[in-house]
Amino acid sequence: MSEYVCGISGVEADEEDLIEGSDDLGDMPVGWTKITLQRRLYNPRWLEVRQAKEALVEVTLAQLPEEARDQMRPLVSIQVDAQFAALEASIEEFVLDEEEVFVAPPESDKALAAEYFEVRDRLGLSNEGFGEDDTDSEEA
Amino acid sequence: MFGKPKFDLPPLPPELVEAVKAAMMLAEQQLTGQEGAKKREFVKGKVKEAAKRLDLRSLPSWLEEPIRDAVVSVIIEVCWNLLIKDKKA
Repeated sequence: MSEYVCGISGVEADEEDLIEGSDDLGDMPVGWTKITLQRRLYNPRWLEVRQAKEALVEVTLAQLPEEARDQMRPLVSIQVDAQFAALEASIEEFVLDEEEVFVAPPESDKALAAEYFEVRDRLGLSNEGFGEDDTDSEEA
Repeated sequence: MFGKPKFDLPPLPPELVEAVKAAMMLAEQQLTGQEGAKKREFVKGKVKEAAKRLDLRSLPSWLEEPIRDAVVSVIIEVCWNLLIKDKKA
């Protein structure tokens, strides 16, 4: 199975169309589109450390006489921060969720072209620069 | 998958604070005249034993030991601070 399967039509790139270009698109055939989705997310481990720190401050303060808690809160927070500083520094705050999809050349199929142009349009991307035939497909 | 983690840190058992206080008194008796850092290490060793009994199974497993170590250090610092305040009062 080809690495290049159209995410809209399901069509596969022909092996004979694969070319080795000098760019960073590998052997992707001419006319195909590579879409990369990158989403920044909080690292779950980083969130766990944050929550653990908050919880530790609270359970520590709960051990103290009620009248001392407000006064001791800054000290406890500083101590907890200090205890976790090294661990926190070793964990990235964010993780990158990355997905790649490919789309076959829109000029290869009218229905594909219509969907392709619609997606571009909804994402605010101009459809100018595509061939006249493709534009016709958009209107189809 | 990437939502906010949900776990509870169980309340610290009162015995832990008592263990810190007892270790601090013992340190004062046994290490009279020695520097504070040595007393602190002595207390830490005693309290670490008591902290082994903390039930932290509700935490993500990779966080159990860091939390256990942090509990020991933080509770010692807090108790020490309170002791100093009491002495000054």
